[in-house]
Amino acid sequence: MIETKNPRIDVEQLLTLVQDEIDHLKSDNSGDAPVGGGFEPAGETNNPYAWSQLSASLDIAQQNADAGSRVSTYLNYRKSIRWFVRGVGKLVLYFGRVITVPQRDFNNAILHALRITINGIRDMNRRSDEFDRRFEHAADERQKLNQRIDDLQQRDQEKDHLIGYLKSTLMMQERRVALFLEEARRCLPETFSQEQLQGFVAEKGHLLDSLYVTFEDKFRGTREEIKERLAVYLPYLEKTKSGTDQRPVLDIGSGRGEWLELLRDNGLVAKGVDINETLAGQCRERGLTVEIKDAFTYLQSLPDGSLGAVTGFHIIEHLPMETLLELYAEACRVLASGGVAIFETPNPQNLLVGACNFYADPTHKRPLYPETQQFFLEYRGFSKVELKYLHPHDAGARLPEGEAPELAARLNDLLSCARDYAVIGYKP
Amino acid sequence: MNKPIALVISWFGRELKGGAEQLAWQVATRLAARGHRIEVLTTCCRSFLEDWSQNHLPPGEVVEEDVLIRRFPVDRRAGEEFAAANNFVLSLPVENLLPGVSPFTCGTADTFIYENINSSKLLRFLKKHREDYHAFIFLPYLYGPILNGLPLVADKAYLQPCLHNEAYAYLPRVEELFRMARGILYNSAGEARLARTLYGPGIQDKEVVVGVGVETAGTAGNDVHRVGPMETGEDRFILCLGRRDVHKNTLFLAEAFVRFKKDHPESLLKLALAGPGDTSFSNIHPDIVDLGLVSEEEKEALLANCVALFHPSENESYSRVIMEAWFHERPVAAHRNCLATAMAVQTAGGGWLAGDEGEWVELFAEADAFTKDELHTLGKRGKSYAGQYAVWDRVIDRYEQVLGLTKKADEPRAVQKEKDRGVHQLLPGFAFGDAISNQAILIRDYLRAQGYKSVIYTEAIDPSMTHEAELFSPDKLSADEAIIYHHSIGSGLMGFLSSLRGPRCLIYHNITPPSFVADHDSGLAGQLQQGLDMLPGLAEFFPVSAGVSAFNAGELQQHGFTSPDVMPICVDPAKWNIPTPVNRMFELQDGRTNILFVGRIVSNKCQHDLIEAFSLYRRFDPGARLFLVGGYDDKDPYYKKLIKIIDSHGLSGDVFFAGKVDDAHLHAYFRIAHLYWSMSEHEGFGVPFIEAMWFDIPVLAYKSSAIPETLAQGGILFDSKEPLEEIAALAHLLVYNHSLREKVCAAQAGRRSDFLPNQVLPVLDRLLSRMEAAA
Repeated sequence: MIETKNPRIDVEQLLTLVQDEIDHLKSDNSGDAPVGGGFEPAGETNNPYAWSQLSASLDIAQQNADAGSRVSTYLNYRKSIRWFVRGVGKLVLYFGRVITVPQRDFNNAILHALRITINGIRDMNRRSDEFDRRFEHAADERQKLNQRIDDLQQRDQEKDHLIGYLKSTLMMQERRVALFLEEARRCLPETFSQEQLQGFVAEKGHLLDSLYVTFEDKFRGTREEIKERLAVYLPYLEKTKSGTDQRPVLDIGSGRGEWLELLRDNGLVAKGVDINETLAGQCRERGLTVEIKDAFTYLQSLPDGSLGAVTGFHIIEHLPMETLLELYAEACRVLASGGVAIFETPNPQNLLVGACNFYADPTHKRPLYPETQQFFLEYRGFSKVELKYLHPHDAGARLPEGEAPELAARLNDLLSCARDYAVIGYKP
Repeated sequence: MNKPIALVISWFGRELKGGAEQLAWQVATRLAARGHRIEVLTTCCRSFLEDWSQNHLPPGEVVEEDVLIRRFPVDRRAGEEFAAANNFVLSLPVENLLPGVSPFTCGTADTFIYENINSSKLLRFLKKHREDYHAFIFLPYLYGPILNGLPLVADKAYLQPCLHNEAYAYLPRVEELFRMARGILYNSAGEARLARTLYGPGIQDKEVVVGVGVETAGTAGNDVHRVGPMETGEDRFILCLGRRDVHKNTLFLAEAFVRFKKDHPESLLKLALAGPGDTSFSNIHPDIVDLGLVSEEEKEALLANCVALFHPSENESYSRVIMEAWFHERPVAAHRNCLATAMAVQTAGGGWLAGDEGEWVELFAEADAFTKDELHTLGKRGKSYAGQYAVWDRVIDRYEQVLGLTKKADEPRAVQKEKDRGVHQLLPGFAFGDAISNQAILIRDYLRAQGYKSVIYTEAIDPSMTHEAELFSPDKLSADEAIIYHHSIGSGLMGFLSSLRGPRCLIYHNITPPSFVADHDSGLAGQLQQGLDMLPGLAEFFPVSAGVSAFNAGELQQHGFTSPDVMPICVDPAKWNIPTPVNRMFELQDGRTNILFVGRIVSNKCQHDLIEAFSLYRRFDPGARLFLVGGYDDKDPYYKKLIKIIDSHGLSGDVFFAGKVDDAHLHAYFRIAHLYWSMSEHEGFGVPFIEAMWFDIPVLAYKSSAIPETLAQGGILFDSKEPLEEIAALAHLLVYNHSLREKVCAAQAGRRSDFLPNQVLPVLDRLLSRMEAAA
């Protein structure tokens, strides 16, 4: 159908392009937009009559803008007096120029300004059309998004159902396994060997690992929040030159590994030890070095003076007092001279923490009094032991002063003081 | 000795920086060195950078390198007012400027012209001594001595504008200079294209691309084997030379290179950037080597050893480095949007063009894949172009040719002796803007120039055209005189024609088949039928005949004429060397697509089909408008039918009947149109099709009658109006598909030249001798 003698144009290719154009148009129209006749013309066509009037008026104005620069053609008198009249006309014009030159400039300036204004209006018309189109498009998009949100919510509900089902089946499975083990033990001709028993015991110790992971995820806060909080300890490592190959950092109870990650981000050498297999596994997936061992046993395996820093965040409140004292002693032993030990724990001086929040974690033993810990560390061989209070409640949690401002102030001190503290000691 | 040539420029001196000043020095001294008398008319102001109202140099004459320099004192001027006007102009964003619409108010325009650097003594000198000079070259376009001086000697003036796309170029006075100058000298084909975009094709017949010489260091740089970290002989690298600047698109090129490397990690190609600039691009990618400013020798070494030169800048008026690369036989890639560089690359065939990032990425891959020989072939083509346009000797040859300084031009032209015999023309009707009437005027002027007496006689005449033709009566013409008769409709001339005995020729302009108009206009149909019926009779009386197209010559043959010739209608764009109406130009360049068809509102031109097709087109381009330019009668049933169709599609605000318009308005319609679209089923020749080609408007036409012959390789034809949707889609492609448009317009640029007077008039010579022989 298409023909051209132009050797640079490939008709077949052109036909494909034509078909693409048509397909493109059809796909654009496949939605709610009406096909044909439904397009609002862009720009000034909203009132073509007005525009053509405007244009005609401008034409007339332009023709007369230079009035006063020429002798009018009305002065075409008979030949005999034409020259005289034209001469007089020119003379008048010459003198009149004082008035007419600024007038002509004014005329032309006004016309120019009008054209610019008209251009602006047309531009606005076009833009408003464009906005209308975009607005419609946005409305469409919003509707689609709402639809998607509805879909997602429904899927979310379905997932909740599924998770509930899986939880209950899992619980039943655990009970069945326990029953089965019990039954098996009873039916076996011989009792389990010591080794087997230890295996069971060890496994039993890990039975709650995944529960604890879920618990932490729910109560501790996001990784970023935790990393931000822990960054306050970085200067201590810098001060004691810890985190090198010779003076690595050991994090006891490394948990989700935020601290280890922060250290790695800062180019420091560190290792974690945690008894929770699930957490240690997650850390390893992130490329962090974590031993799955009891912290105490692991410390015992290390040579004297081999670490730059020993840290433990929210672990000492999980230990019985004897173990805690042992831990402090071991930490002191494995630290190199000038090394630092940092242990962070909830601050029971805060009324809310001491009375309530501390018990949110059912594996906590008992609140630890700050000065006691300071004393313990010093007792176990650390020097320059300091207490660092952290994370006060924000001002919004404070009680209003009301009628008893002193009482309120005292209560506020108790309620909103630091929620955590760290005890920090240096190996002499 | 012959009269001298004068260069008129505001500042002149060997040491002056600035493109135009350097150019003036080179041209003046080089022409003088060839023994021509060259004078420079300039001011006593030292340079562009000084106070323009100060006379730093003494007035009077000095001779430097055989060039006589006449300096004239500058006038006092209102510098602050000028600065205010100038700042206003500079503050206008270029993308908002519209061709044919002045961005100046009258006041600012006058301030710009009259408070510019000016020398009334220089102007007086020009006025007084215009006869003492052979020609004047004015350069560059935007200073007082040029703006005010050129009009004084326009018929001897050659404007060398050094034009950029900037607000000054839209000053009405500047357009006037282009229109009135005898010739226009351009530094590059891109500059000529820009001028045509701004002022239309009316100036094209006096344009000459003279080029600018580039002084080359030749083979220097052979000893340099290492530039910075680059081993020039070892590394395979693309070179980008010039200011390393965001505005020069350097970062854009670097990003394209990074993408190329990502797609082709195995490639060893590097990108070397060299030139001044503060930003370093080295850290973007290990294979981008930023060399900073390099010495001339190092530059030569880089040019001699690169794979190709990539020149991504979109804002260049002339690029030396491209010529330098070509002198080293290296291919060049230029940005499609930069007229000056893109035109050079395209014309020379010495490289590639690219636009968006994707295209540049592909270009890296292409250049990398080219063999040494292939690169060399491209480079060689570039070298032969640079050898034409960037070598001073060739450039000065061209100046000599244009200014008539060659020996051949010195010989006086043979004045045609007045001939005894008259050759007159006879037409059934003569009207303003009518193609047949215009052709008759052209033929008459040519005959008169050949020494013949020549008058146009007509049966009916438009009152506005009485100065061009006379009403025919049998007593005004003797039967023995030589007559050229234009046949296009039935007339009462048959009796007279049959009595002719002298040399005679019939030119057939085609007759629309009466069936097309029978329904609407039975009177016209009758006249057309009469015209057709006359043909066999006329064949007996006219031994010599010609059709305006082969299509028409074929019809003549069918009616018994023997061996009819083909003499096309002349379409000379010089006709368009007139200003366009400001308001129309302003209104129609509002960002909407303008579709144009020119022709009387008559059923054989099928405007009804065009409106139907246009309504489908609007689905692709909802803001488009259709202009139907051509006379109509609002009582005509066909016109009423069109109005009904328009209303039925709700297009009353988008289809415009412009009526029969004067040349200035027609000029405006052609200037603003994006597509010329014809559904016509009968065109005897199709003058507007050729006019559209001159305005670089792609033509889309239904294949009928003489149209395929007129268009030849130009335009795109379709041989069926069904399905209309496909034709509308094709129209949309022609408006928006850059590459298709470019291909169509390039072919049209070739075709339109076939209808210039110098192509058509030789046929007339042949007809005249045949007429003599037959009588």
